[in-house]
Amino acid sequence: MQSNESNVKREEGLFALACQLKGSAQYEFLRNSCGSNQCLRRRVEQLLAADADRGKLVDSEFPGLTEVGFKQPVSSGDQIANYQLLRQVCHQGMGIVFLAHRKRDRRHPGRANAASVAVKVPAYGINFANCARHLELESRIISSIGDHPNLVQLIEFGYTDGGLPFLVMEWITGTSLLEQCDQRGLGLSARMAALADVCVTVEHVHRAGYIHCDIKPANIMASMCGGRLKTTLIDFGIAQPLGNRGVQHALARGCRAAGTLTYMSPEQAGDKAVDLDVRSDVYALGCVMHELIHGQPPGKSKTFSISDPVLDKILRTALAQNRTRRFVGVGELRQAIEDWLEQKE
Amino acid sequence: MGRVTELIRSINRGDDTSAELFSMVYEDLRRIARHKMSGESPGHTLQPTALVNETFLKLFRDNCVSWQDRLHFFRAASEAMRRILIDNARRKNRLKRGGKSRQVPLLETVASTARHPGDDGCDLIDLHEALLEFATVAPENAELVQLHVFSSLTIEECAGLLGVSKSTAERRWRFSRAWLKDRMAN
Repeated sequence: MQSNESNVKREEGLFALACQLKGSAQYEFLRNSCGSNQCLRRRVEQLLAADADRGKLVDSEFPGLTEVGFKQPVSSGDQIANYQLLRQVCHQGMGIVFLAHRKRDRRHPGRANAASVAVKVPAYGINFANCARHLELESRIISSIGDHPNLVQLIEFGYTDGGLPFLVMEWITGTSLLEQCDQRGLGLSARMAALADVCVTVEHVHRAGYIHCDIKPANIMASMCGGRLKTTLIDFGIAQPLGNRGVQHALARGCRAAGTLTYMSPEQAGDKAVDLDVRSDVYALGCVMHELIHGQPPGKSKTFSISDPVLDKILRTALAQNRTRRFVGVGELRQAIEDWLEQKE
Repeated sequence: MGRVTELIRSINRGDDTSAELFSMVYEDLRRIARHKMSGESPGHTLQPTALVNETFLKLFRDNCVSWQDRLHFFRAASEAMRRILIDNARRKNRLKRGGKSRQVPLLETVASTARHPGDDGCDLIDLHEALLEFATVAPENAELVQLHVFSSLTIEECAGLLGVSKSTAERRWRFSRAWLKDRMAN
């Protein structure tokens, strides 16, 4: 049978359908659809046989020339600058985070050597260049927000000899705020008090001129510290300067898929290019609040089965679809939560 | 704006500068590969994925790159990667047949990374030839194969670049793979 474009298209169509069938059903299908065209039928059967062979397309072990897809630039066991990567912890925004140990520093032998740190490198993929640029931006943002006890601390930003950017941050022990609350069986008041703390941190970020843009339970770490729940806000991977309509926003949009839509404000998740403001973070905090109360983020139904009318009202205000109806800032949200806490006492 | 971005813009405007883009990407790939290999012990493996990505990063460091731009880049890069690997496999074959060793500018090293010393890279050449033939009867599918195999982009990423759904790309890949396997077997 002659191979030309229309023949191949026909083979492709039949092949796709036949792939979904097995045994006699497949046989029947081919018999019916090929009719008297024996050549076509034999050809599709030939292709199905080739398909059944799951071996690689290319046998020679050219590294990377496989059907596996992307390999990451670094992996556990590798060393980056002075850091030994121990294990991959998570994909965070546009990067991969490793738990790492600082190697012994010969110039400062007295320094604690096996200090745990988190090392973030850009994830390979089609977005690699953007990821790498973002990592740089992230380091600049964290350092310009400045120290805060409830914010992840930046240790170092640099490039490897091969040109791979890396970001080193303090290693935060503990688990996410939600897990911590569940594990310790914390009641509503304790949960709301913790959330108020998170609000204070986010207010600090806003005062420094940035919006976090990716507030969600996984980015709020918590641990017990002196009998008190201490929260730490992490991952500034898609944070943005406030009042910035231009490039940064376009960049963040390019990698939006890396963020989590569930906790994203409608204006951030939408297609229209709007200038985001602090109310976007207010919405995300509302989602976290919902999850702290109900165990899950707000669904599409928008029905809160809530027993406390005051909390219900706070949630509705924080989660208003139209941002003009939300709290004007995180401070107002925090104030409402604190008022509720006071009333409870 | 870098030269690469300029070239891509002109391709988008309809000018035929793809050959120049290709040669730039090709040269850069080779440079980066050589640089990477220079400090490594023999037998060290080189990954086309890493090479392509690093080239991308280097060429687009200061530019905002649209999806359209990326498609042009990855087209050029996967073509360059293919050429580098094929030239290399052919050279190995020549050497094997007792041909005179000549100065080979690049990826000598890629050849030495094949884990089986006896491997002559024949199936790579077979794939290359099958793919050339496939491109004449199913050009869109051949492009997908080229991006997937030679830039090591995932099928999902190829789908994004080519502007088709993931399931369409998967369906096409499955057919292409069967077609190529069949051709290579015969």
